[in-house]
Amino acid sequence: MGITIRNLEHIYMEGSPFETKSLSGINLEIQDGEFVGLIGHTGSGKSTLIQHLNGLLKPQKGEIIVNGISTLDKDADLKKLRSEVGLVFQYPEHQLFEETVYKDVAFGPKNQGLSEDEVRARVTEALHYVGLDESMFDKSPFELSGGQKRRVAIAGVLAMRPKTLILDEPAAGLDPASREEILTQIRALYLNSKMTVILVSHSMEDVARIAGRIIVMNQGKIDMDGKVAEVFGEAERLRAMGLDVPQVSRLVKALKERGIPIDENIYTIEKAKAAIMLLMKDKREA
Amino acid sequence: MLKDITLGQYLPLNSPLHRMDPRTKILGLILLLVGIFTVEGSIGYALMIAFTLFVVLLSRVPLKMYVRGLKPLWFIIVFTGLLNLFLTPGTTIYVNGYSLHMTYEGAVLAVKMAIRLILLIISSAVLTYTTSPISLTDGIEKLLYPFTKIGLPAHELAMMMSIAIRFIPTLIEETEKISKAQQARGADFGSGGIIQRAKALVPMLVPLFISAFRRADELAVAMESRCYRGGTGRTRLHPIHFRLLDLWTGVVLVSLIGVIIALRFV
Ligand SMILES: Nc1ncnc2c1ncn2[C@@H]1O[C@H](COP(=O)(O)OP(=O)(O)OP(=O)(O)O)[C@@H](O)[C@H]1O
Ligand SMILES: [Mg+2]
Repeated sequence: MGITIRNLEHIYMEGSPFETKSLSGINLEIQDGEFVGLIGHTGSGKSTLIQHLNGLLKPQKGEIIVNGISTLDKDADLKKLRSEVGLVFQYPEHQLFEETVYKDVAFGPKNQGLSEDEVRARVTEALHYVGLDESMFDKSPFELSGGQKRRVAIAGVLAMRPKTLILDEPAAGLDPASREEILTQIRALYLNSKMTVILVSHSMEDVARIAGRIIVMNQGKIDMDGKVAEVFGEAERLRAMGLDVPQVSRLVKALKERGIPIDENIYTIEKAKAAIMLLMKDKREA
Repeated sequence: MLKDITLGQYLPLNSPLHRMDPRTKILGLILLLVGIFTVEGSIGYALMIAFTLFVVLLSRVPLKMYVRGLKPLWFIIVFTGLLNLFLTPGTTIYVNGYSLHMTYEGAVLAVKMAIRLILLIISSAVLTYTTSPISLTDGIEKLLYPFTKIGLPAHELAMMMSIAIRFIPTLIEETEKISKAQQARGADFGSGGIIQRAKALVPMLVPLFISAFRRADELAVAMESRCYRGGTGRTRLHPIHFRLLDLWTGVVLVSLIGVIIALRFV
């Protein structure tokens, strides 16, 4: 049934000299099964927006309807909403608290009131999804590496089997290999399940590679919203907002400008490589 | 919830009070407190209220900020008011069915106490709204300095205080973030019996303590790597100065409190 946002507005610390308008006039429709990349410069309101989607923040103005229920509704079952819309915060490893990895991941499903067996099944599944095997289950989460901690925290949300998964900068602060791995796992998860995924990121490369639709936020407003090709087609506008298109896309554009017949809508290294190899081959054969 | 506690928040504005030496403001507040607790008689109260109002206007802090600072304490003000109203012996002016006596003396005392409490809160708020935590602790350090001769670690105390004050907002922010993150996993902080609620706090307190220790560790390393060696030989970026304004403030305050005490005891 998806998510509908109408005229959402949010002001932090209203009425004090520190008040900041962090969201205004947000209208948005997200269908079930979409993979949405949410980008925007620092402070553009991304984190504020996604906290509205599971009812952690209530609309000050406007409304949000998630799976047919308004979060403003007094009878809205917030617990149910939060298990349907899983939210992984920025730096989620800071919220680990249990003695063992297993127990920490089990926190969510236990709060859902599931049986012991069901909890076990879900925890095992979630930890496998993020690439952690049984040998890790009884370790203390605090003796893991940063990347492993991050994965445990993500598993903690996955174990609730949300219909919608929202990740706030899941790859921030990780080394390139872990980055790659986490993003690949998210992509695989999306393809294997019927989840809706919303990925918040600063990295154009990451978003270009795995999202189908991109929403660009600028100063609390939605500035662009469309398919990857449409959004990255407007490089100038992105640059004016302090964002950029993926490097590869700049390369492709530069090649095109020099008269090389290459498809302009290439945003990933793999595709660019394939296209260039093909061109080289054609050239050699000619 | 946590954000509603505005008492103790500095507002960076530009007013004579903001420019004043923090020592003047601290000592001034102490004098005012003495005044608030000794004041008697309608002239005395009128003087104290007028002076507090004057200071509030002088501070250029919006009035609604003071009102907001009072809000969490309304309950205490009303509660002590009711206690005074009904439990003070004297001429009964009203009796209800449950043999609660409302007395004339009680009514007077209730009003007086309410005024004192409100003045107390407002005048402390003036100090914290107009003085940044750094200059506040600087002021306290300077005021305590004479006591270093008898072994009081003035600088260390002040440093501890500024670090603690500095990290209050950070901790509040962190608490909010962690509590949100756990709520996103279905944690429920608001329902159940006392034991259940206490247990529900574990997922919040553990990460909070861990991050507090981590921060403390990082701060210690950062301070040492910038050669922090305690107070001796340290100079200040913004030295505090006692100016003419402070002298006049002192004169006015001392005379005011002098009058208040005179009104009471003479
Ligand atoms: N708890 C808060 N209290 C007050 N202001 C806040 C709070 N959280 C965010 N803000 C302000 O709201 C605005 C939007 O913040 P938000 O965290 O949503 O941005 P963001 O797009 O997630 O940024 P980043 O990419 O840095 O994570 C910012 O100007 C920020 O200063
Ligand atoms: Mg953010």
